[in-house]
Amino acid sequence: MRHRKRTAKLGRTSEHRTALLANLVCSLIKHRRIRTTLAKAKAARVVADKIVTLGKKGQEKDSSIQCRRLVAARLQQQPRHHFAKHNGVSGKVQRDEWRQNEDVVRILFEDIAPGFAERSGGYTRVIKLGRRRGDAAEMAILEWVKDGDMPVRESKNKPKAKASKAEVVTEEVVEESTTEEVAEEAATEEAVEEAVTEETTEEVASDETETPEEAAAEGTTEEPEAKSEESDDEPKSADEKKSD
Amino acid sequence: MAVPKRRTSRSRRRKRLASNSALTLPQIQHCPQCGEATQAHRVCPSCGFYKGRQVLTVKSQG
Repeated sequence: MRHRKRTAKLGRTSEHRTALLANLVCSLIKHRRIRTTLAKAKAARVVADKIVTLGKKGQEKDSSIQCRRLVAARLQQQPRHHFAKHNGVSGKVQRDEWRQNEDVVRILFEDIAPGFAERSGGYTRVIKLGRRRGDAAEMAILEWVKDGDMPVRESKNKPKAKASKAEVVTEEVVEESTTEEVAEEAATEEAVEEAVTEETTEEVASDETETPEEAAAEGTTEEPEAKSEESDDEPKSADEKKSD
Repeated sequence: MAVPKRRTSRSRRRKRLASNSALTLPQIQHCPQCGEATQAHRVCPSCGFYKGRQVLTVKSQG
């Protein structure tokens, strides 16, 4: 019986789903981290972990070929043997480039799986990004877990190092806006104090793109307005914003 | 079959809808890195930090 055997369907037929997950995992292997929806990331995580397990098994000589073929099958990868000369690039060069950058089976077995020799499962990490503008889908980053790349949370009140932004939090949410932010505001004179309202994502004016000019203009012309500062979409999806 | 005897009054209907279909706003926290308002368990959209690590690079704003 199929009781409680949950599989994320992702609104797709099984063939479509298998192909999608294979593509996602291939992208993950090639690019080391991918940005996708939370549901797809969680579904791909399962496949990715199993593929890495196969990759680790294949490190031994006698099971190598079998594991490589299994991985190729699961990821729907066709073996590629023929590289014709194209645009003056010789077939040999093309083959080397393909093996270096595109051959996911090779990348998995030579670059990724050996790094997980000490780790028994849980090879991937999902980091939530917030909702995407357009369809409000929760987005996430799926990436390989590497040792030591996620330190424990540090103390809350450490001075900010990176943030190049001038806008800081406001008065109505005081409990967190501590002294160093006030100091920073004083330092950067174009610091615009804006009332960051509680309503976050969907209500904000959709035509608002976050450019410095606009931020400055807002500060000068009128006083606090609902700003899309804390909206969850991330700047990469600028085209999605415009489509709204 | 059991059938309602009375039409639901405006007051009753509104009371029901007010409580049963009220939307809730997401909880807001503040990024320990830049102080910007963020949602819990998510990468800070303004500085790209999460758990003390730079997860993604955000286009600088000025």
